[in-house]
Amino acid sequence: MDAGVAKPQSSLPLQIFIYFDGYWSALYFAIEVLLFTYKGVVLRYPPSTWPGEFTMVVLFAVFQKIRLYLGTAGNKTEQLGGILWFVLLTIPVVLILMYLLEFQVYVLRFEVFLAITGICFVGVEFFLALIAACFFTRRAV
Amino acid sequence: MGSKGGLIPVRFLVTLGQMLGIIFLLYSKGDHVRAALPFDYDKEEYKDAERSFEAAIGLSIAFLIVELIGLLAGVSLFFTAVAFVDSLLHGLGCVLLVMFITNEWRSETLWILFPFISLVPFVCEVWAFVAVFGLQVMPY
Repeated sequence: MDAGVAKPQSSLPLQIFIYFDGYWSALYFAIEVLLFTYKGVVLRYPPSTWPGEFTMVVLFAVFQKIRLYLGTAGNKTEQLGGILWFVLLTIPVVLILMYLLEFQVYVLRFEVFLAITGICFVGVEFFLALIAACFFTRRAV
Repeated sequence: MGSKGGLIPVRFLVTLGQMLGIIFLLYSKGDHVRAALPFDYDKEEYKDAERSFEAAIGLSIAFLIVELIGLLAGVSLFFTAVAFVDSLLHGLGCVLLVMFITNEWRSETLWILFPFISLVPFVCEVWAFVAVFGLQVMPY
């Protein structure tokens, strides 16, 4: 390493996880839309619960898109702000996944597997992002 | 970049898909085992068939976990050939496992599928590990 050039601090593991999480989320969203169509047609819901749960799925996609974009940008530009928003937006995403895993009206086995995979991803990203944030602050000081 | 943009996500999703299929086999285990046994089977035969089926499922899950670790840790991330073979065979595996479950195939059939959908991708993965850490064809 040259003395004058700073070593990049961006986290490669975090970037790998964000990359795969993007594809995973797209798949999850597509499957959930199909499953909710199926559940809406085949199963009887209590009044006015189906739209609420479907909104959760759409919100998941929106939050995840914003979160992963901010995470990528923050990680690549070594900006603390992006990474902190990434960590903060983890909370709604985990809450939605927990809801879809445990508290929705009908939980299919398929959804259990998918939601657990998603929570693993988000959890690993959370810790990697905190580690990356530590590196970025150390450099800023 | 072209192959990296297309093949690696496909490999990842298809590997996860096969993991899902294998885990679902555990739920319908009894049906497959009974389908493999003669009409008047005894407890001993059932136990043996079940144990063999569970061994195939367990090995497949272990192989898939090793592959996912290799992929996510970046060991075999840049091997296009491995990504191609994995995508092809795990994609085939997803389809075959769906047929396996919906048509209630006999439990020994999993051992026939096993070399194609689990063993060959795992051998490719091991080859990637050896190439990276043993032969050091690329820096890790």
